[in-house]
Amino acid sequence: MSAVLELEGVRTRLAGQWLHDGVNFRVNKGEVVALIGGSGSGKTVLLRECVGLLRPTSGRIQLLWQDLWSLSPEDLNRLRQRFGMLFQEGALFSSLTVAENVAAPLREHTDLPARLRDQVVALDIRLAGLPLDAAGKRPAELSGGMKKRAALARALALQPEMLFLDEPTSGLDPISAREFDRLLRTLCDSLGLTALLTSHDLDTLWGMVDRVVVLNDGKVIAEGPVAEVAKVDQPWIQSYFSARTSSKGATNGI
Amino acid sequence: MSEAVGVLPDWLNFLGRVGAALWQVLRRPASLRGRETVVQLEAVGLRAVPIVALMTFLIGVVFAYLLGIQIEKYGANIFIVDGVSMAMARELSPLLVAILMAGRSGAAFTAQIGAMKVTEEIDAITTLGLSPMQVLVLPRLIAIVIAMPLLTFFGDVVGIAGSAGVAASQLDITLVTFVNRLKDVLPLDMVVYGLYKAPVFAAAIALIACRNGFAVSRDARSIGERTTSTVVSSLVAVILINALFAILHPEAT
Repeated sequence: MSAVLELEGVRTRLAGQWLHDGVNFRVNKGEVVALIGGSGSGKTVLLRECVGLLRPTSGRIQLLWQDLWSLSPEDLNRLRQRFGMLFQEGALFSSLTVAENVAAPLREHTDLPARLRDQVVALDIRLAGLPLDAAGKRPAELSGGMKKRAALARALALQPEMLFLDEPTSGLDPISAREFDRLLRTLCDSLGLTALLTSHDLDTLWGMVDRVVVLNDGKVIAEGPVAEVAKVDQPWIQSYFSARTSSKGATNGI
Repeated sequence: MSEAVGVLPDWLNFLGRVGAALWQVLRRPASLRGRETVVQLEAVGLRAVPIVALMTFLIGVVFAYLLGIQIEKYGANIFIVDGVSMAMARELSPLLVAILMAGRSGAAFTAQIGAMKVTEEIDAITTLGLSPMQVLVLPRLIAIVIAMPLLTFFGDVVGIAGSAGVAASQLDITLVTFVNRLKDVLPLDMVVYGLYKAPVFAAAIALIACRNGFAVSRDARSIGERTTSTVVSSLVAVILINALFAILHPEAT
């Protein structure tokens, strides 16, 4: 298997502190990998470095077989058409309707005739599990879950090879969160997408992720399938995974 | 002072990026966001017409009225035309419009871009392979640079019309006399001088406003602070630039 994303010795200095101190991991083709770690451990910052929004202090990020931070701005923009990013709050363009949001990357990077473009937009909106009548709505009229779906449709518009997702299920109720997980998994499997997501949601980890990467104190302290990582004897990992068992026990009334 | 030095690299960085985007548009005019520019042109230009008309008209009336009281004492009624037209075309209309634009459009630019920063829309623009400079800054910059001279000229006309009204009712100067005198005493140079200050004011306001928008950090309070900063800095910038023009072109009197 070849690595679609590979981080080597990534170090980040923010506000006078080393946030990442030599992060190494890889994501293979077709995998869904979750990046976990405590609040402030720099998951989101790492994700932003992987998509070319923030330059790491040192280290190498190899995305889709290209060295991300040594690309020229033109090449970086070309690379950006090959992956999608789902921001935590969706980050839809608030002055455009859902359909125009999804059409924005197509308008910019392709010269599809308008009719064909509309069809692609409708397809992406349906793929993301939105009813078609949502297409004419503005982001402010959508619920949190629908915003995420609309943002997912936009991220899928250019048929990316890789998806980055920042807290895909945050702010969703448990039912919508599981639905969103299932949708993501289905899309990744059927479209052959590779995905890297950050998450706090243990149900997401157990339910849909192939592998987790644990970020703690600026380093990767464990990685592997969820079941294996949960057994690793490390204080932070143990308290993280036991948080779920105890809360689960409480809600079940056992 | 140390604060001023601290923001200098940020400013140079921002200006460099705007310059690069502008250069790209000059090389490939098709890359300009035409639709967005027109939308902005409507917002900063067309929609500002009523308020510009009201302000310049009132200033024209008040200025003519006060000047008229003084001038009447010397029986020099006809000189109202000289005083009012020169003041309006050279200083009052360009400055009034610039102050209006700073408060109206400058504040709007900062708040819009700042809110987009908070909701990560700007990051989304970047990850979609678009340039925030091309999509957000250039349309606003170009729109305001086009709109401001037009509004200034409109302000000249309305302001002088207001004073013509006062001159007719208070100083017995008929409209025909007023216009004839105007043709003799208001040099074209001076009108042009007032008009060519306008795009410079406009560019300063747009750049200050957009940079402040991008400098918003991810919280709501920051938007308020940056919007305030935009209005204050652009007013100071407009007054300073105006002083600079006056020093560099003393002959345009």
